[in-house]
Amino acid sequence: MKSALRHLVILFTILCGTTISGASIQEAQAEVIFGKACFHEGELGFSANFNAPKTTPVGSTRHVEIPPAENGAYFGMLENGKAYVGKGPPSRARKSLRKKSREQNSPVDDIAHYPEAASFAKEAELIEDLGGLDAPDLLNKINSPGKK
Amino acid sequence: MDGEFPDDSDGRVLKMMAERGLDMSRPVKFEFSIHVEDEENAKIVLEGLKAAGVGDAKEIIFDEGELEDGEEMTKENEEFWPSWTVYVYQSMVPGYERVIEFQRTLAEICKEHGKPDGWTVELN
Repeated sequence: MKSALRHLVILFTILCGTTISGASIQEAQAEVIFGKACFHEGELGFSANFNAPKTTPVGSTRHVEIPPAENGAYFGMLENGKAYVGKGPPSRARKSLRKKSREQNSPVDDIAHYPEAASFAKEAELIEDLGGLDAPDLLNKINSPGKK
Repeated sequence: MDGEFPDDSDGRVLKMMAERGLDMSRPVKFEFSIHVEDEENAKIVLEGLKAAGVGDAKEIIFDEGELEDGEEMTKENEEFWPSWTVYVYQSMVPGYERVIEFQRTLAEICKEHGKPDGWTVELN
């Protein structure tokens, strides 16, 4: 049994490029990190911890990139599958999804924010008023997506 | 206009709701948010809402934000600052004019003490 165990651990080590801590697997604390799952050898044998800590804590949105915008629409989803839509600036989208994440005790999976189309249209009008994209003083050299 | 919804943020969200299969003929629980500077203003806004009888329910929530340890508050990380919000929960049949009118009412009640800055609906 111990021999089989030793071979199994060695196999994990070779396949995953991981290291084994502890002098001997007989000391019952050899550990192989395999993705997010931790395998521990104890008196009762191997047990897999599939409840490894999540990388995104509940109530956090810092892992989500949202470009700056004054206003807009958003779609947000939690890891438990709950989905939300809303109106507001990126700051409101984050606050709203933080609140939902805490209420549901589920981390925020992702947020998509769609800037207010009217602001693009206004920007396009402004660019035209300033003489178009060829105007010498026009700092914004990128045409607005709101231009028709 | 895009279909039956105007081409602005409110219209776009209502369109998203319809496209994702929400029954737009039945009442939906809307969560309107009012940004307030501090707890004192939050209480004033809440009292105003109560006096006007607006909203099925309302509450003040402090959001601790997401600043990391030692991170200073700057204009660049404003989205992560701690903040106060008054939430107003209202069931209504989704409709552009209704949603706009409700936000207008909230703005009138808040006056200088707060600013309605959005709303949220759960899809499932």
